[in-house]
Amino acid sequence: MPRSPSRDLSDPHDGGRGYFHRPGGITRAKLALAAVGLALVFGWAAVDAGYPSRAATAHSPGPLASPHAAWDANCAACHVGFSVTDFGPVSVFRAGERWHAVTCEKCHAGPAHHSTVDAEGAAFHARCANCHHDHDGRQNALARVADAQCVRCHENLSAHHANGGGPVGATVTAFSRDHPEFRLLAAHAGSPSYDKRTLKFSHALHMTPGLTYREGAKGTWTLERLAELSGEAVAKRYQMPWQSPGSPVTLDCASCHSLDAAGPGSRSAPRTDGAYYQPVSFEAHCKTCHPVRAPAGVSGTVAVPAFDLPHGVQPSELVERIAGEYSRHLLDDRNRFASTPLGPVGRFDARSNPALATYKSEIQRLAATATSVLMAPAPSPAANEPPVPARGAACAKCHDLAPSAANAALPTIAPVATPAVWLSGARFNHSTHRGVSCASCHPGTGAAFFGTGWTAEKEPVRIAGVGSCQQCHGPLRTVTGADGTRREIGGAKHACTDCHKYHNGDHPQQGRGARDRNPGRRFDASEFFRGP
Amino acid sequence: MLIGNSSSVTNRVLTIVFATAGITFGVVALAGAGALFGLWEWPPRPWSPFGVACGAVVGAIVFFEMAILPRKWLRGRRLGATVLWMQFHIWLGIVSLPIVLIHSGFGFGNPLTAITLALFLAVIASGLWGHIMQQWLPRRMLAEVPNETIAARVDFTGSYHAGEAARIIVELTGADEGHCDEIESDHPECPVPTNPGVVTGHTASELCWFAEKLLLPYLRSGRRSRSPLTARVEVERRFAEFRELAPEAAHPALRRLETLCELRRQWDSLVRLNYWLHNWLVIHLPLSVTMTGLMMLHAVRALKYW
Repeated sequence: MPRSPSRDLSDPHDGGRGYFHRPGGITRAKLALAAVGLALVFGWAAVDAGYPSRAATAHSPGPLASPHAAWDANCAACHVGFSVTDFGPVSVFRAGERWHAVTCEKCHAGPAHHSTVDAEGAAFHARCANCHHDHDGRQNALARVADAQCVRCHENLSAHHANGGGPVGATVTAFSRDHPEFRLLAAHAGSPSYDKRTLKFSHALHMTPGLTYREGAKGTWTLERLAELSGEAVAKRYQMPWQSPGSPVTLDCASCHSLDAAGPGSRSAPRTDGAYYQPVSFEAHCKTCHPVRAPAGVSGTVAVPAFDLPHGVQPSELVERIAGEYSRHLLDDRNRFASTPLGPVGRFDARSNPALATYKSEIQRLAATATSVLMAPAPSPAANEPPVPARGAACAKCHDLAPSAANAALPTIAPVATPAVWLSGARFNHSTHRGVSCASCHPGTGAAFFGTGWTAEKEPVRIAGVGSCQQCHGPLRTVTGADGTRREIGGAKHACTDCHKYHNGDHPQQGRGARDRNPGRRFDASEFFRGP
Repeated sequence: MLIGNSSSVTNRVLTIVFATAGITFGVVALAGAGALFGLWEWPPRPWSPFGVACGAVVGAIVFFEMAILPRKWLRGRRLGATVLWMQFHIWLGIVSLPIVLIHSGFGFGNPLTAITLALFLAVIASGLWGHIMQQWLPRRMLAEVPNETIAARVDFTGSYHAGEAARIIVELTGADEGHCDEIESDHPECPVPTNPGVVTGHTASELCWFAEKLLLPYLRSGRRSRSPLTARVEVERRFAEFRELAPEAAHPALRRLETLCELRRQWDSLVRLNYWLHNWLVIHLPLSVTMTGLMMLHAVRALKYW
């Protein structure tokens, strides 16, 4: 019987029909490799779970700045913690922003950058990481914020200010381009004097040899005269190496201004910055030539010599000091008042003792005489005298005397409002600018008085404007001088944070080390390094 | 057709290539345009809302793509038409490429994301490669292997044919003559020509030697036997010689043997084409599984650390 053709096709497959249950080579290979892949995934997950710091490091955008290096693998030290419940259908899409929520204030306390920004600005400034970007390498300086972060608001400040504008320029895009004039100078632009100044002082006069208005004038200060007034030691202090004792006193800037990094002899604790000059003080810098002294007096046969008085006290107190000093002299054992018998219970009683009444009136007379000398108003210049500043003697030579409301007979002296740091809105380092003469940035302080004519009795602010800073602090550029020569200027650093410290860092008593910057809680060392 | 309706293989392959490139550039350009209008930043950051949204979309696509595995395991349940599954598998896979690139911000990131992205690109590439193979090879298989069989059964069937060939040889040369004592059939049930012992003498010895040394190993193992019979011309030459030497009555049996050689040669091609048709899965599946696992790990880590 002939075979069916279909048998020829089916017979070869007789037996082993469950072949499809047995995977072929390709199937075995892909399953084996898939198993290896899964094993790798689970291994990776296990390592992640066992060594979370490794996973953290892998996800770190970069090394932390060196002050934070101890927490390179400890995200929770700075970043706000979270749990699964913090994620919702919407918040999961903003998961990345969560990492901008950092807890800087655990270690870095301090006032906010601005208190006058609008609501949007307040929300922006509430997150430190919006401006301070870490994870940018060990050498990254977190306080060096890019100009773009500042310009973000300051290019159109009125749009971001809660009051529609602040005290500074409304549009600042770069220091070298449109930085406004220093606030102090802008407020007194065109004014011949700084209206808050209450001290009569002329740099030009004090930089003139002999400190005189006219060459060879009668009142020329010489070293000999200084020695007579304040002693040889003081005269030697002001004597230049080439000068003889008869030479006129010649001051330079350092005679009165000393950097805060000054060495031994400095009035403050030595510091290395040398950023600012110490405040000029009467006792250290003025008293040698301008001592405050009560005049000598005579009561009967008793001669009371001139005596020094304290500086910095109001006339009402000064009168009491003067009276006390005269009293001390008149009660000396050699004087007649010492033999006057005491009244009941050992008290002086002028009512029961005519001698004591005389004593009291003498004290009052001497004190009144001294007070009238010290408080004499500055005379007006005569018609033929040159208009010179700081006329007169004693208190009125340097201070404004105003009538006192409490005591019409005694004036009051307005306190000297000279700030220790004039430009408190930014920082400046005098020692890094030591290559430039003082008068370059403080015009009118280096010239001698001769030939300068009238000088304001109260000096204007002797600080050059922002334009003088912009000559060096700006992009390197070529300029053509009046004589046609071309030269390159600029190139010095000119970023916002080169001068400005935010978070009130420029404000006195608010800088680094201020109490306001102490963290709310201090940590022990192990806790600190584990991540506070 | 999973992709395109053209009967031209070249057209379909070009459709795959251009569709992938077009969708990729189109979606990226669309995202770039959105950034121009200020909808999001550019390049997008993975942790931005837009970046996370892209990541979520890609994650959903990947899970759908991987669902084809359980769909295959449960094919008896008839969970949708296979062709529909494959169409979505392919098109969504292509669409996911630009979304992943946008999600990544066109960067690789940390080691985990870099490896995950590299695996993703390898998965896409292997998938496209496999799809191109599947457009091209079936057509070639139709041409080269008209007698197609089940690829996994080629050696089994070849062994059956070897048994049949052994019986034919034994019958042709006469079982009692002792020319082919060394030859035994594994399949004695095989039908054989009914002209036993028609080939005798030296020709019978030659035929037996040929069967033992070349024919039977070739039928059993195909190309692996390193037999010269892998070349069609060699088969035709050898059997032409035997037909010259053998009587007419042996010719049907010899033609059957030649047919078996031709079948084995076709099936060798079938095995080779089948290998290229499926070998990309050795890359595609393990990398897909690994990538999916790493993607889940990445999602957890991303939500934890970003």
